[in-house]
Amino acid sequence: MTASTKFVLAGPDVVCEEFDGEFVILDLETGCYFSLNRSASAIWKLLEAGFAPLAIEAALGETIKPLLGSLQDHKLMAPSDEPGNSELDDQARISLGTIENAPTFEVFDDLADLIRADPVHDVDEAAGWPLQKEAIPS
Amino acid sequence: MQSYSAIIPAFNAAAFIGDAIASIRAQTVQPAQIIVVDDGSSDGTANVVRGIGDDIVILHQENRGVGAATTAGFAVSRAPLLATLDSDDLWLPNKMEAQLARLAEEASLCGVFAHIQPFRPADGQHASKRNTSVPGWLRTTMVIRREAFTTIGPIIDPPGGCGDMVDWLARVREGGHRLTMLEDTLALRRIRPGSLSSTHNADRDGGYLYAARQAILRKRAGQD
Repeated sequence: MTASTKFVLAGPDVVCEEFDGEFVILDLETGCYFSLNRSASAIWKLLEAGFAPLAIEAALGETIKPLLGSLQDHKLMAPSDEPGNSELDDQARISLGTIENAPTFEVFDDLADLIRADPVHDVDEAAGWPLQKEAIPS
Repeated sequence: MQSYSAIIPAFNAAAFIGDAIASIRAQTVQPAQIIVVDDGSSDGTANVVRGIGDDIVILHQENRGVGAATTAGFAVSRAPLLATLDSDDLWLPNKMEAQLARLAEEASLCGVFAHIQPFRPADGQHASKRNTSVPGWLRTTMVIRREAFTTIGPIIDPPGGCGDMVDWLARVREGGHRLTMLEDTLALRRIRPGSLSSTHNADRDGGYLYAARQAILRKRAGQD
Protein backbone atom coordinates (compact mmCIF):
# COMPACT_ATOMS: atom_id res chain seq x y z
CA MET A 1 0.00 0.00 0.00
CA THR A 2 1.52 3.32 -1.04
CA ALA A 3 0.95 6.79 0.37
CA SER A 4 -1.74 7.40 -2.23
CA THR A 5 -3.46 4.01 -2.17
CA LYS A 6 -7.16 4.52 -1.55
CA PHE A 7 -9.90 2.22 -0.34
CA VAL A 8 -13.08 1.48 -2.26
CA LEU A 9 -16.18 -0.54 -1.43
CA ALA A 10 -15.27 -4.19 -1.80
CA GLY A 11 -18.19 -5.00 -4.09
CA PRO A 12 -21.75 -4.28 -5.15
CA ASP A 13 -23.11 -6.30 -2.22
CA VAL A 14 -21.77 -3.76 0.27
CA VAL A 15 -24.30 -1.02 0.95
CA CYS A 16 -24.37 1.64 3.62
CA GLU A 17 -26.37 4.51 5.01
CA GLU A 18 -25.74 7.27 7.52
CA PHE A 19 -28.17 7.63 10.41
CA ASP A 20 -27.63 10.56 12.79
CA GLY A 21 -23.93 10.70 11.98
CA GLU A 22 -23.39 6.95 12.32
CA PHE A 23 -22.94 4.60 9.41
CA VAL A 24 -24.62 1.24 9.16
CA ILE A 25 -22.99 -1.03 6.58
CA LEU A 26 -24.65 -4.15 5.27
CA ASP A 27 -23.14 -7.04 3.34
CA LEU A 28 -26.03 -8.36 1.27
CA GLU A 29 -24.13 -11.53 0.49
CA THR A 30 -23.70 -12.66 4.09
CA GLY A 31 -26.56 -10.71 5.68
CA CYS A 32 -24.12 -9.38 8.31
CA TYR A 33 -24.33 -5.73 9.28
CA PHE A 34 -21.86 -3.39 10.90
CA SER A 35 -22.19 -0.36 13.11
CA LEU A 36 -19.66 2.48 13.07
CA ASN A 37 -19.63 5.10 15.82
CA ARG A 38 -19.32 8.77 14.89
CA SER A 39 -15.52 8.69 14.86
CA ALA A 40 -15.39 5.62 12.65
CA SER A 41 -18.11 7.14 10.47
CA ALA A 42 -16.07 10.29 9.92
CA ILE A 43 -13.18 8.11 8.78
CA TRP A 44 -15.47 5.99 6.58
CA LYS A 45 -16.68 9.12 4.85
CA LEU A 46 -13.14 10.24 4.09
CA LEU A 47 -12.27 6.78 2.78
CA GLU A 48 -15.36 6.85 0.57
CA ALA A 49 -14.29 10.29 -0.66
CA GLY A 50 -11.01 8.80 -1.84
CA PHE A 51 -8.58 10.01 0.80
CA ALA A 52 -5.70 7.59 1.25
CA PRO A 53 -5.75 5.62 4.54
CA LEU A 54 -2.13 6.61 5.13
CA ALA A 55 -3.06 10.28 4.88
CA ILE A 56 -5.77 9.78 7.50
CA GLU A 57 -3.40 7.79 9.66
CA ALA A 58 -0.82 10.59 9.42
CA ALA A 59 -3.42 12.93 10.90
CA LEU A 60 -5.00 10.65 13.49
CA GLY A 61 -2.26 8.20 14.36
CA GLU A 62 -2.44 4.45 14.71
CA THR A 63 -5.88 4.64 16.27
CA ILE A 64 -7.38 4.04 12.85
CA LYS A 65 -5.47 0.83 12.16
CA PRO A 66 -7.91 -1.56 13.84
CA LEU A 67 -10.77 0.00 11.88
CA LEU A 68 -8.94 -0.34 8.58
CA GLY A 69 -8.14 -3.94 9.44
CA SER A 70 -11.75 -4.70 10.29
CA LEU A 71 -13.05 -3.13 7.09
CA GLN A 72 -10.70 -5.33 5.08
CA ASP A 73 -11.20 -8.48 7.15
CA HIS A 74 -14.95 -8.26 6.66
CA LYS A 75 -14.56 -7.48 2.95
CA LEU A 76 -16.30 -4.14 3.19
CA MET A 77 -13.48 -2.08 1.71
CA ALA A 78 -10.39 -3.02 -0.26
CA PRO A 79 -7.35 -1.17 -1.59
CA SER A 80 -7.89 0.14 -5.10
CA ASP A 81 -5.50 0.17 -8.02
CA GLU A 82 -6.57 3.72 -8.75
CA PRO A 83 -4.57 6.26 -6.77
CA GLY A 84 -6.38 8.22 -4.11
CA ASN A 85 -5.78 11.57 -2.53
CA SER A 86 -2.63 11.43 -0.42
CA GLU A 87 -3.18 14.90 1.06
CA LEU A 88 -6.09 15.80 3.29
CA ASP A 89 -7.84 19.01 2.34
CA ASP A 90 -9.12 21.60 4.81
CA GLN A 91 -12.57 20.10 4.98
CA ALA A 92 -11.16 16.66 5.71
CA ARG A 93 -8.99 18.10 8.48
CA ILE A 94 -11.98 19.86 9.99
CA SER A 95 -13.98 16.66 9.93
CA LEU A 96 -11.17 14.72 11.58
CA GLY A 97 -10.85 17.52 14.12
CA THR A 98 -14.33 16.74 15.38
CA ILE A 99 -13.32 13.20 16.36
CA GLU A 100 -13.41 12.80 20.13
CA ASN A 101 -13.52 9.07 20.76
CA ALA A 102 -11.72 6.06 19.40
CA PRO A 103 -13.36 4.68 16.27
CA THR A 104 -15.44 1.57 16.98
CA PHE A 105 -16.65 -1.13 14.66
CA GLU A 106 -19.31 -3.66 15.67
CA VAL A 107 -20.39 -6.76 13.77
CA PHE A 108 -23.86 -8.33 13.95
CA ASP A 109 -25.27 -11.42 12.29
CA ASP A 110 -28.65 -11.71 14.00
CA LEU A 111 -30.59 -10.67 10.87
CA ALA A 112 -28.52 -12.74 8.45
CA ASP A 113 -31.03 -15.57 7.94
CA LEU A 114 -33.88 -13.10 7.46
CA ILE A 115 -32.01 -10.92 4.97
CA ARG A 116 -30.61 -13.80 2.96
CA ALA A 117 -34.06 -15.36 2.70
CA ASP A 118 -35.81 -12.16 1.69
CA PRO A 119 -36.99 -12.57 -1.89
CA VAL A 120 -36.59 -8.93 -2.69
CA HIS A 121 -32.92 -9.53 -3.01
CA ASP A 122 -30.68 -11.02 -5.59
CA VAL A 123 -32.96 -11.91 -8.40
CA ASP A 124 -31.39 -13.42 -11.43
CA GLU A 125 -33.96 -13.20 -14.18
CA ALA A 126 -32.28 -15.93 -16.19
CA ALA A 127 -31.83 -18.35 -13.36
CA GLY A 128 -35.00 -17.72 -11.44
CA TRP A 129 -35.50 -16.37 -8.03
CA PRO A 130 -34.39 -16.65 -5.30
CA LEU A 131 -30.76 -17.55 -5.38
CA GLN A 132 -30.01 -17.90 -1.76
CA LYS A 133 -26.37 -17.45 -1.10
CA GLU A 134 -24.32 -20.15 0.53
CA ALA A 135 -24.76 -20.18 4.25
CA ILE A 136 -22.16 -18.16 6.05
CA PRO A 137 -19.93 -20.12 8.39
CA SER A 138 -21.17 -19.75 11.92
CA MET B 1 -55.45 -28.04 16.16
CA GLN B 2 -56.29 -24.40 16.62
CA SER B 3 -58.13 -22.42 13.98
CA TYR B 4 -56.47 -19.80 11.80
CA SER B 5 -57.30 -16.61 9.97
CA ALA B 6 -55.83 -16.27 6.48
CA ILE B 7 -54.71 -12.72 5.71
CA ILE B 8 -53.74 -11.34 2.29
CA PRO B 9 -52.46 -7.77 1.95
CA ALA B 10 -53.15 -6.70 -1.64
CA PHE B 11 -52.10 -3.76 -3.77
CA ASN B 12 -53.11 -3.83 -7.45
CA ALA B 13 -53.31 -7.60 -7.30
CA ALA B 14 -56.33 -8.18 -9.55
CA ALA B 15 -54.40 -10.43 -11.91
CA PHE B 16 -53.16 -12.87 -9.30
CA ILE B 17 -55.25 -12.69 -6.18
CA GLY B 18 -57.76 -15.20 -7.53
CA ASP B 19 -55.03 -17.82 -7.66
CA ALA B 20 -53.86 -16.92 -4.17
CA ILE B 21 -57.36 -17.30 -2.73
CA ALA B 22 -57.89 -20.54 -4.65
CA SER B 23 -54.76 -21.91 -2.98
CA ILE B 24 -56.35 -21.15 0.40
CA ARG B 25 -59.61 -22.80 -0.66
CA ALA B 26 -57.59 -25.87 -1.63
CA GLN B 27 -56.11 -26.30 1.85
CA THR B 28 -56.79 -29.62 3.54
CA VAL B 29 -57.53 -27.60 6.70
CA GLN B 30 -59.71 -24.57 5.99
CA PRO B 31 -59.36 -21.16 7.69
CA ALA B 32 -61.88 -19.70 10.10
CA GLN B 33 -61.93 -16.67 7.84
CA ILE B 34 -60.16 -15.15 4.84
CA ILE B 35 -59.28 -11.47 5.10
CA VAL B 36 -58.10 -9.39 2.14
CA VAL B 37 -56.73 -5.95 2.94
CA ASP B 38 -56.96 -3.76 -0.15
CA ASP B 39 -54.13 -1.26 0.23
CA GLY B 40 -55.58 1.45 -2.00
CA SER B 41 -55.58 -0.56 -5.23
CA SER B 42 -56.62 1.16 -8.45
CA ASP B 43 -57.07 -1.98 -10.56
CA GLY B 44 -60.31 -3.36 -9.15
CA THR B 45 -58.67 -5.84 -6.79
CA ALA B 46 -61.59 -5.61 -4.36
CA ASN B 47 -64.12 -6.32 -7.12
CA VAL B 48 -62.23 -9.43 -8.11
CA VAL B 49 -62.26 -10.65 -4.51
CA ARG B 50 -65.94 -9.84 -4.09
CA GLY B 51 -66.66 -11.93 -7.16
CA ILE B 52 -64.88 -14.92 -5.66
CA GLY B 53 -67.03 -15.23 -2.57
CA ASP B 54 -69.04 -13.13 -0.14
CA ASP B 55 -67.55 -14.98 2.81
CA ILE B 56 -64.25 -13.15 2.29
CA VAL B 57 -63.72 -10.15 4.57
CA ILE B 58 -62.46 -7.18 2.54
CA LEU B 59 -60.86 -4.20 4.27
CA HIS B 60 -60.06 -0.99 2.45
CA GLN B 61 -57.36 1.47 3.34
CA GLU B 62 -55.44 4.28 1.70
CA ASN B 63 -52.19 3.06 0.21
CA ARG B 64 -49.98 2.71 3.27
CA GLY B 65 -47.77 -0.23 2.48
CA VAL B 66 -47.77 -3.99 2.75
CA GLY B 67 -46.77 -4.01 6.42
CA ALA B 68 -49.54 -1.66 7.41
CA ALA B 69 -52.03 -3.69 5.38
CA THR B 70 -50.94 -6.91 7.08
CA THR B 71 -51.26 -5.25 10.47
CA ALA B 72 -54.78 -4.09 9.61
CA GLY B 73 -55.65 -7.69 8.76
CA PHE B 74 -54.23 -8.91 12.07
CA ALA B 75 -56.29 -6.33 13.92
CA VAL B 76 -59.65 -7.55 12.58
CA SER B 77 -58.82 -11.26 12.60
CA ARG B 78 -60.46 -13.54 15.14
CA ALA B 79 -58.61 -16.85 15.13
CA PRO B 80 -55.80 -17.67 17.59
CA LEU B 81 -53.40 -18.35 14.70
CA LEU B 82 -52.54 -15.90 11.92
CA ALA B 83 -51.45 -17.11 8.49
CA THR B 84 -50.37 -14.58 5.89
CA LEU B 85 -50.04 -14.81 2.12
CA ASP B 86 -48.66 -12.34 -0.41
CA SER B 87 -51.26 -11.71 -3.08
CA ASP B 88 -49.22 -13.14 -5.95
CA ASP B 89 -47.96 -16.26 -4.18
CA LEU B 90 -49.53 -19.67 -3.62
CA TRP B 91 -49.85 -22.11 -0.76
CA LEU B 92 -49.52 -25.82 -1.49
CA PRO B 93 -52.57 -27.80 -0.31
CA ASN B 94 -51.00 -29.39 2.78
CA LYS B 95 -49.29 -26.21 3.98
CA MET B 96 -51.61 -25.27 6.78
CA GLU B 97 -52.17 -28.84 7.95
CA ALA B 98 -48.41 -29.38 8.35
CA GLN B 99 -47.83 -26.09 10.11
CA LEU B 100 -50.87 -26.37 12.38
CA ALA B 101 -49.75 -29.84 13.41
CA ARG B 102 -46.33 -28.51 14.36
CA LEU B 103 -47.81 -25.71 16.44
CA ALA B 104 -50.16 -28.18 18.13
CA GLU B 105 -47.19 -30.39 19.05
CA GLU B 106 -45.12 -27.62 20.58
CA ALA B 107 -46.94 -25.14 22.75
CA SER B 108 -43.75 -23.11 23.28
CA LEU B 109 -43.37 -22.42 19.57
CA CYS B 110 -44.74 -19.06 18.49
CA GLY B 111 -44.41 -19.31 14.73
CA VAL B 112 -43.79 -21.83 11.99
CA PHE B 113 -42.35 -21.10 8.55
CA ALA B 114 -41.57 -23.38 5.61
CA HIS B 115 -39.45 -23.68 2.52
CA ILE B 116 -40.69 -21.95 -0.59
CA GLN B 117 -40.07 -22.59 -4.24
CA PRO B 118 -40.12 -20.05 -7.06
CA PHE B 119 -42.43 -20.49 -10.01
CA ARG B 120 -43.01 -18.57 -13.19
CA PRO B 121 -46.14 -18.00 -15.18
CA ALA B 122 -46.39 -20.74 -17.78
CA ASP B 123 -45.21 -18.62 -20.69
CA GLY B 124 -42.30 -20.90 -21.48
CA GLN B 125 -40.10 -17.88 -22.01
CA HIS B 126 -37.91 -18.12 -19.00
CA ALA B 127 -37.98 -21.62 -17.65
CA SER B 128 -36.34 -21.59 -14.28
CA LYS B 129 -33.06 -23.38 -14.28
CA ARG B 130 -32.54 -23.15 -10.59
CA ASN B 131 -35.77 -23.56 -8.74
CA THR B 132 -34.63 -25.19 -5.57
CA SER B 133 -36.57 -24.50 -2.44
CA VAL B 134 -35.14 -22.10 0.07
CA PRO B 135 -36.03 -21.33 3.68
CA GLY B 136 -38.83 -18.80 3.54
CA TRP B 137 -38.77 -16.35 6.44
CA LEU B 138 -41.57 -14.62 4.60
CA ARG B 139 -45.11 -13.40 4.83
CA THR B 140 -46.28 -16.16 2.51
CA THR B 141 -44.88 -18.94 4.70
CA MET B 142 -45.68 -17.48 8.12
CA VAL B 143 -48.12 -18.97 10.62
CA ILE B 144 -47.86 -17.26 13.95
CA ARG B 145 -49.71 -17.15 17.25
CA ARG B 146 -51.76 -14.05 17.86
CA GLU B 147 -49.62 -13.21 20.91
CA ALA B 148 -46.75 -12.23 18.59
CA PHE B 149 -48.92 -9.45 17.21
CA THR B 150 -50.40 -8.38 20.53
CA THR B 151 -47.00 -8.17 22.24
CA ILE B 152 -44.72 -7.00 19.42
CA GLY B 153 -47.11 -4.63 17.70
CA PRO B 154 -47.54 -3.51 14.12
CA ILE B 155 -45.44 -4.43 11.11
CA ILE B 156 -43.61 -1.25 10.13
CA ASP B 157 -42.99 -0.35 6.50
CA PRO B 158 -39.42 0.93 6.13
CA PRO B 159 -38.84 3.88 3.81
CA GLY B 160 -38.98 2.46 0.29
CA GLY B 161 -41.39 -0.28 1.29
CA CYS B 162 -38.98 -3.22 1.46
CA GLY B 163 -37.67 -5.18 4.42
CA ASP B 164 -40.79 -4.97 6.59
CA MET B 165 -40.69 -8.65 7.49
CA VAL B 166 -36.97 -8.55 8.28
CA ASP B 167 -37.65 -5.82 10.82
CA TRP B 168 -40.77 -7.39 12.28
CA LEU B 169 -39.42 -10.93 12.59
CA ALA B 170 -36.26 -9.56 14.22
CA ARG B 171 -38.48 -7.84 16.79
CA VAL B 172 -40.54 -11.00 17.30
CA ARG B 173 -37.42 -13.06 17.99
CA GLU B 174 -35.93 -10.42 20.27
CA GLY B 175 -39.22 -10.49 22.17
CA GLY B 176 -38.40 -14.06 23.12
CA HIS B 177 -40.86 -15.70 20.72
CA ARG B 178 -39.49 -18.87 19.23
CA LEU B 179 -39.84 -19.37 15.47
CA THR B 180 -39.04 -22.50 13.53
CA MET B 181 -38.49 -23.45 9.91
CA LEU B 182 -40.03 -26.61 8.44
CA GLU B 183 -37.90 -28.41 5.87
CA ASP B 184 -40.94 -29.10 3.69
CA THR B 185 -41.69 -26.96 0.65
CA LEU B 186 -45.19 -25.68 1.38
CA ALA B 187 -45.54 -22.57 -0.78
CA LEU B 188 -44.70 -21.15 -4.20
CA ARG B 189 -43.36 -17.71 -4.95
CA ARG B 190 -44.37 -16.12 -8.22
CA ILE B 191 -41.55 -14.69 -10.29
CA ARG B 192 -42.49 -11.98 -12.71
CA PRO B 193 -40.50 -9.15 -14.17
CA GLY B 194 -41.22 -5.92 -12.39
CA SER B 195 -42.73 -7.49 -9.29
CA LEU B 196 -41.55 -6.48 -5.88
CA SER B 197 -39.52 -9.66 -5.72
CA SER B 198 -37.48 -8.92 -8.82
CA THR B 199 -35.99 -5.62 -7.84
CA HIS B 200 -32.39 -5.04 -6.98
CA ASN B 201 -32.43 -1.48 -5.96
CA ALA B 202 -32.01 1.27 -3.46
CA ASP B 203 -35.42 0.70 -1.86
CA ARG B 204 -34.47 -2.83 -0.97
CA ASP B 205 -31.08 -1.82 0.39
CA GLY B 206 -32.66 1.06 2.30
CA GLY B 207 -35.23 -1.25 3.89
CA TYR B 208 -32.59 -3.66 5.11
CA LEU B 209 -30.39 -0.84 6.38
CA TYR B 210 -33.39 0.58 8.22
CA ALA B 211 -34.04 -2.81 9.82
CA ALA B 212 -30.36 -3.10 10.79
CA ARG B 213 -30.30 0.41 12.27
CA GLN B 214 -33.44 -0.30 14.31
CA ALA B 215 -31.87 -3.53 15.59
CA ILE B 216 -28.73 -1.61 16.64
CA LEU B 217 -30.82 1.01 18.47
CA ARG B 218 -32.78 -1.72 20.29
CA LYS B 219 -29.53 -3.38 21.41
CA ARG B 220 -28.30 -0.06 22.80
CA ALA B 221 -31.57 0.59 24.57
CA GLY B 222 -31.30 -2.87 26.11
CA GLN B 223 -27.84 -2.08 27.45
CA ASP B 224 -28.91 1.11 29.23
